[in-house]
Amino acid sequence: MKDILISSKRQKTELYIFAGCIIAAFIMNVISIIVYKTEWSELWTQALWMLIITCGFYALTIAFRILLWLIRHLSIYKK
Amino acid sequence: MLSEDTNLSRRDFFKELGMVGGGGMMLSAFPWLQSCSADDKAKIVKEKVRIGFIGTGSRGQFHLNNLKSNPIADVVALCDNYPPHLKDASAIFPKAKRYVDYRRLLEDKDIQAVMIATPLNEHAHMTIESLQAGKHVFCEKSMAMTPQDCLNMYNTFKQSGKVLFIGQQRLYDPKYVRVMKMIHNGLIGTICGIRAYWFRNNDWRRPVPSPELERKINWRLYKATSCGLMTELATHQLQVGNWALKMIPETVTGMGDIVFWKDGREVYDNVSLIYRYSNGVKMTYESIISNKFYGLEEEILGNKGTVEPEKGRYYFEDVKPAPGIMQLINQIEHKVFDNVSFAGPSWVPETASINKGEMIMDHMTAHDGASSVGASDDGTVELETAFCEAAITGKPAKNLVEEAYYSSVLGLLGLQAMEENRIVTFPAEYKIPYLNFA
Repeated sequence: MKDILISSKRQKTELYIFAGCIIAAFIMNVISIIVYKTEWSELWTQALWMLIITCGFYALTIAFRILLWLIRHLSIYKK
Repeated sequence: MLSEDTNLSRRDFFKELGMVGGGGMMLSAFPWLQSCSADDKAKIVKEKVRIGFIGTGSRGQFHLNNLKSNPIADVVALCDNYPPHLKDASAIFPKAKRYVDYRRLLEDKDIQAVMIATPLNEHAHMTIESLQAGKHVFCEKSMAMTPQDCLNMYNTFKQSGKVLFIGQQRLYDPKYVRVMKMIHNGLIGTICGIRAYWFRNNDWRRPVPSPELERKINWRLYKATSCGLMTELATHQLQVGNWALKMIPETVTGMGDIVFWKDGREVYDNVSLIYRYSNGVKMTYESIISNKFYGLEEEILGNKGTVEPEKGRYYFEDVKPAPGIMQLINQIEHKVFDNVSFAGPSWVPETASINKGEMIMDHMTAHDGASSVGASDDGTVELETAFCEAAITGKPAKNLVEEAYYSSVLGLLGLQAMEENRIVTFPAEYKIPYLNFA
């Protein structure tokens, strides 16, 4: 079986993107607490939902990047 | 505060009430619970009340089995005019004297108190004669077959200076006491309505060894000996309504029929009534004995919440909102999907809010109301113990007979309303100095 090598640059990029997703989910939680006037304790009581949303955002970035890669690949192929 | 309150065990709860240990602030609200003070309890710890038991059928044997393990009760005499029941009871208390005629039992000077668990038509005269014979009396509910007999029992009790208990065990059921404390403290706001019901699915019959014993064994089914569902079941629940509202209804109307068990019985197997209180609140009452799905309950509805004492749960009208993040996701979901025209205006399912409520207290027993004999942990043991204590000290339980009196009379007025097909007003001559007639 072939080893899959992930470069340190790629790892760093993915970590940055994941951290960005965490921050986005956190901001979303803060906004929803303010808008719906719920308890600030939800910052930690809803941590599981934040993690799920983080993973959802990350999955969206993957889908978006695959889409970009496909568009780019197709345009090169056309040329 | 509330969660702390609701996490009491049954024993802790009675400690709080002062039934086991010292006094408590709740006692003034439930005066019958202080018929025996802590000092009295200490004094009578080694005493036993000598009881003569009249009526040893199914409910009677339920009491006898409880009394067997009660350290302050000694059943010294048994009385029944149906030999098989007397024989069964003698197996529980083999040393007790046996009587066929209750009057002979009442002549026995050794007996301090009598407990009566006979058919309804025997309650009034047996209770009155027992009180007049100088005995303390425990009589099963309902009190009597007519309001006048109920009043005669009440007046004799007041004149005798003796102890009288009526088998309204909910007055000693921890769940109910807790619920009433919550209601009277305003937890569910203003009571706007009460829905009480008792559903069973059985014919209410007992096996009869020979046809001539039909009316003796199945006395609950015949008008000469019983008033049917209103005296056997409804009185328990009507008392709960009065207890919650601290008043009695002014009027009652209803309808009753024999719908399913057309087996020669004379009492209704299907009743539906409305009791109206002076403040406009209505208590609806329904009892059907050919469907048991909903069991029994008294749903007490306030503008801030609802309590269901039988299930031991309460529900607030305003439930805690969902977490903000869930509300946001839900809103996004609706914005995205609600306008998609697919299989109708919206295919996004509406998730109904199910309010499961909170427990009134831990370690409690809920009943389905199916048993015609009695249920465990429903306050009966506490009621029997309170009677024994009161019989030893000679101090009647305050307001207990009054509570039972009104529920008995209300059950009978409900029956009258159904039989005469009219609205019946609570007659002034049957009002006693209690509740809104103080």
